Amino acid sequence: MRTARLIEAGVIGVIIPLHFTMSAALGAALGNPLVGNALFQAVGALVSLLIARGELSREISGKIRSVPRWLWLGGAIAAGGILGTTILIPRIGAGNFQTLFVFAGISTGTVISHFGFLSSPVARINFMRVAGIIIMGIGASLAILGRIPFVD
Amino acid sequence: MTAVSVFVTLLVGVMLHLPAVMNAAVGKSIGSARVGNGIFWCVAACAGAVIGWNGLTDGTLLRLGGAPLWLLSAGGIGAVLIFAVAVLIPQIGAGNYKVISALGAVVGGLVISHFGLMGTPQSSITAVRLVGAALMALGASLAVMGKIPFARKRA
Repeated sequence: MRTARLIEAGVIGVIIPLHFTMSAALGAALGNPLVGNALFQAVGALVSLLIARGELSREISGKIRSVPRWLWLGGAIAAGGILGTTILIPRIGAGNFQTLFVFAGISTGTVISHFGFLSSPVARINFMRVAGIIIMGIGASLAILGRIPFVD
Repeated sequence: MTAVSVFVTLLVGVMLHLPAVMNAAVGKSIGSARVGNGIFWCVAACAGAVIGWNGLTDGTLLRLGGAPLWLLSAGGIGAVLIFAVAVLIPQIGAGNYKVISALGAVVGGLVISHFGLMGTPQSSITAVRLVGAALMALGASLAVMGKIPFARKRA
């Protein structure tokens, strides 16, 4: 059971670059990544509303008003980020993009966890975490360059 | 790949990690991850529409007829992914999810580039690139777990 769940996590990981690349390909097919990004977000909104259907109660509606408004900006930031994927993947390739994306994501997550930002569980930065980020950086260089850096 | 591309991609990586945390905080405070996610995507769709409207040029929507329609499902896949992650994390733990999905994402990206799928730039998978992906998984394990994976505690 647990092995199946771990495999699912790996499959989700594989689907992430695939759907980013599809979004980039849509922007390229339209000759306009801005409109491609808008369509991506619109379909995403429709599907997420379908998933949320039936769970919107009066109690939850009341709580929505109490959410700090700036937190909703997360959606707008995500729209900007997805636009970035739509523009960058056709230029630098899915492999390079995903490698840098994962490196930045894990590094950011480590900093967010250190400060417990937005009530996320606190996990202090220690020697092992710093070593991990450095090893990731070396791995990212190898994956992007396809050779050992500074060696002819 | 230019230094600017590297910098902007790292920025996008940071940009897309922050909303995930903000989305989780919204879901927690209203007591429904699904509704929080639904509103989150609606805000994203509004922002995307404003950006798209400003960049709309003659003929863009006409080209939609010629584009493969299955590409439109990318947004739907994104919405399902976020929901699936919310279901999976309580079962395997956030740390395990981050490390395994990071490895999957890097390998997936390398495979897409190897075949140059969907017209993206092609770069072949080599032994050095695979070692790089393995080092990224090891580094991600250390960064997320804060300890050597599978190491037993001393009595």
